[in-house]
Amino acid sequence: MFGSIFKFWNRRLSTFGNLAFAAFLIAVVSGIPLAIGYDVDNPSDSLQLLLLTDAPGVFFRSLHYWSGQLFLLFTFIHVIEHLSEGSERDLKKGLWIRLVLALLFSVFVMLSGFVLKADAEGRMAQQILNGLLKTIPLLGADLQIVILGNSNSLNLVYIHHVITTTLFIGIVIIEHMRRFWPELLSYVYLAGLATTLTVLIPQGLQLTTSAEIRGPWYFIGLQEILHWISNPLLVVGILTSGLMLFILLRWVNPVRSQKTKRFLFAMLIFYGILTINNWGFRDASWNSLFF
Amino acid sequence: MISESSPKKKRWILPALLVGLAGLFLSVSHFTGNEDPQLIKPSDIPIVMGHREGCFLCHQDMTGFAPSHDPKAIGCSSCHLGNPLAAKKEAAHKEMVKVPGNLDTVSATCGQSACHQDLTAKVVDSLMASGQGLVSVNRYVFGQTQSPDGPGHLSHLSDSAADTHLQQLCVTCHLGFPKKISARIDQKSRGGGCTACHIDYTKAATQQMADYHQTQKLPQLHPELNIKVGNERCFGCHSRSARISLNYEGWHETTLKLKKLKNPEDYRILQDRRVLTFKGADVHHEKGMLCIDCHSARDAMGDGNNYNHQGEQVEISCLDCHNKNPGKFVGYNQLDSDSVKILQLRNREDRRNVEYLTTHKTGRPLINMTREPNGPVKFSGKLDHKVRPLNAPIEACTDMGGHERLTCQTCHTQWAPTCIECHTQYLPNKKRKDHYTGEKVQGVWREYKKDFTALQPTLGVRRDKRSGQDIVDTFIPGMILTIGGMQNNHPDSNAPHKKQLNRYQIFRRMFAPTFSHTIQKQSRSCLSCHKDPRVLGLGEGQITYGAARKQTAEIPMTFTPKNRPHPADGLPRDAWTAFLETKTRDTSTRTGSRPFNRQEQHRILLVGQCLSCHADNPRNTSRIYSRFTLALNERTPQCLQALKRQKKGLRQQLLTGKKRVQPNPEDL
Repeated sequence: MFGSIFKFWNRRLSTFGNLAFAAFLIAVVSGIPLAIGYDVDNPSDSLQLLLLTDAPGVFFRSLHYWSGQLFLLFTFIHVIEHLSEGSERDLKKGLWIRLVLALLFSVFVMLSGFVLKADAEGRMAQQILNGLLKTIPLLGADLQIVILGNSNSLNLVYIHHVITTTLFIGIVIIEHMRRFWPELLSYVYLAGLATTLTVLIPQGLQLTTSAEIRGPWYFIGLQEILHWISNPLLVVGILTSGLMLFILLRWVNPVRSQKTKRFLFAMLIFYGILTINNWGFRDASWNSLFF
Repeated sequence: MISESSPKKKRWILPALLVGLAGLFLSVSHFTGNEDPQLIKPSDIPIVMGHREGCFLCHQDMTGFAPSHDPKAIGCSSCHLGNPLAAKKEAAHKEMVKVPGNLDTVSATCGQSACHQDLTAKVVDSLMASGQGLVSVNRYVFGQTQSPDGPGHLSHLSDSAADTHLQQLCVTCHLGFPKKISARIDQKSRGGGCTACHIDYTKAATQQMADYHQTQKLPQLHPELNIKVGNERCFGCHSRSARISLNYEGWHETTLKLKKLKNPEDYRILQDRRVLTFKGADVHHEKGMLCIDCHSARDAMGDGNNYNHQGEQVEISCLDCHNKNPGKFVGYNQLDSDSVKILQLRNREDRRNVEYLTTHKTGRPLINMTREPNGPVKFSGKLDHKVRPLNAPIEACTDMGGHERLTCQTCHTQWAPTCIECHTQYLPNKKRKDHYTGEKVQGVWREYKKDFTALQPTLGVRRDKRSGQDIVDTFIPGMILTIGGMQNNHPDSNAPHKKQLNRYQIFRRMFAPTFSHTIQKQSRSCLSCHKDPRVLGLGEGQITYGAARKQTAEIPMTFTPKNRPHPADGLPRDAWTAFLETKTRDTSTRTGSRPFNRQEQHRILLVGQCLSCHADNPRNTSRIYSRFTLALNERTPQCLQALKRQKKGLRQQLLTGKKRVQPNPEDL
């Protein structure tokens, strides 16, 4: 089913890989002026002043946000496209591992951007990430220091967001695509779509803490899982197992691989249901209409 | 290969360019529409509540705030929401709340976590917001439920007959009704959540707001948010229904029409054109006391518990102030945080060394009832801080035998508004503007009032839910009404006179306990209870006693009602119960409330017979009240002679067919 949909899309529009690459580059370029003006010592205030006094800054911030969201969305679709065609077997094993890592880094670069807002949502996301990392036995404390730093400062998160993860993702994309630029058409599509979203849905900051605060769209399902499973270590275990299964897809035989893919796809659908339940059907008191 | 380009894509270059151009156009319009934010310096934008408050870029000159709500302390967006981080007007005002405090948005405004979260959570479920008693009684009267107690919220009404009746006629008074226009609180004000009571417009602020509504010129003077809740803030809603705000000031609402008044200067005319006449104010009003002097914040805004009716939520009672043995006291450090905050706002922080009286009902502190350690209790006004004397009840109030079940208001209520018969009619073909939604709706409920008089209240028995005891209290005809025009059948299939009843569809005769707020120091007379059939719930009329026999308690009595019987149940139109009968069904709009039963009626009337001669002699009255059976047996020949003289009158009545009732000896 997916094959015909992707074929139809690819014949007429840019491929999802190209669109994701274009979105990545737009996010990088629009992020440069933001990175310059961003004050790591006073992150929230620097962003608030940007919103109030710097109209181009407001535009670039919103463009950075939307191109980032589109990058992640098109990357996910691109991965599903690959898996549905079984083309992951065409990739070298080393590259496959680097790509999976780049996928993880892509989620992290998005999350770190969310944390760098340093508003009520950002602070809450930082707390949740800290809490999850801490629960990992043996490595937890070290991972926390390596990824988020050992203080409330956003210094390390900023460096990872701007340099470490961005560079790694960029290198892996170029290695995977075997080109430095996506096709022009994907740029035009992405630029049009991202600027339209930028102007129509500008991005502000969430100033006050309330029970209705939600994480970013790709994080909401995890919030829902954390609501149901009170032991964060179990959640980390489930996520790690899922990741290991995903990496092993390249090695298992085609029949098993197909079954594993179906299982992972079912998990993805379930994650989507959890996301929808949390997003649309939970009230301020965290009561769900369904379950 | 997935990333391979197709030749067909060339066809899509034009649409792609169009999408790109649309984005470019929007970007250009975004920048050209911007004001010149480059001129704004960071120092122009203060940090309040931990963030930059961009509202000051345009509204820095606004004045008039109380210190606790000064924008320099809490900003503008804390109350009005919007986006304080947007420099453009349209973006800054997006999702702005013009009238903060409305309960539909209160969790984000007054009730946000940094402000009054706990308090607003209580208010949202309090009776002034939910109207739970109003909803459940109305549903009960309409036959929709089996009990006048139960769940119900005026913000969540259905489209049943009972609920549409409320929706059209009553719903605007509850706190959840959103106020749409900023304006001073006046007699016509309704709803508005927190601002229903806590917004205070000066004369200049009122004028500026009026100008704003006409010319859109932004006011420079903001109304003050405070806790100086004067009686005028209660008046709009509480001059309706039981009309306690009117009663307290001594005004009685008439059925007179303003246009037909010959001498309007003799009356008080309200903004909604109701005509009032003066009947006598409550003694507490005469002494300058305000509603909030008795009613605590918990009384008004709820204490977080669920109550069915207002009488259950109110925690103040007469005995808290008027008592030889006052209740318990607590020190400043034992006060709850809300009480401390209120003391601070009222600049009464100097009161750290005094003790605070707690209520008898709940044991919670009354912040205006204090004493120096072991000194006398002092009452001080919450706004004027004036100390007023507290009089303990006289001995007759506390030591009168046989009257232990009476509340203070039973004797000290001077009058209560009394509407003995009204009719509510559904007119399916008419249209009316729905108060709540503002939309025109098909089908109209209309009320037709008859007599509306100021009379001493009827007495009856009420079960106090806290103590579980039956007490004698004041009642008014909560409902002697007919409801017509509905399609459904009357739910009460066992009702008497069903033939006539069907004509009306629903007939109810229920009285409601009331505290009419017309208290005076002078109590009502003994005879006004013991010989007045209306006060006993029989309706106006004449009680006639027959001759007594020595050594027996038998005194035949008859009752001649003044008003004609109602076709639905055969009782006089103003009655609550039948003469010397026990009413068990449809008695009251409160569970456990009822008229005097046969036994109680008989006892009261018998005592009344004795009081006819002995009311002025305290020694005799004390004997009658304390040991009535003994007093009966010790009647003197003169007493029996006097009773004999009544026989003639009774015989005359019996010949004309009036009812004669022989008392049951067990009643004594």
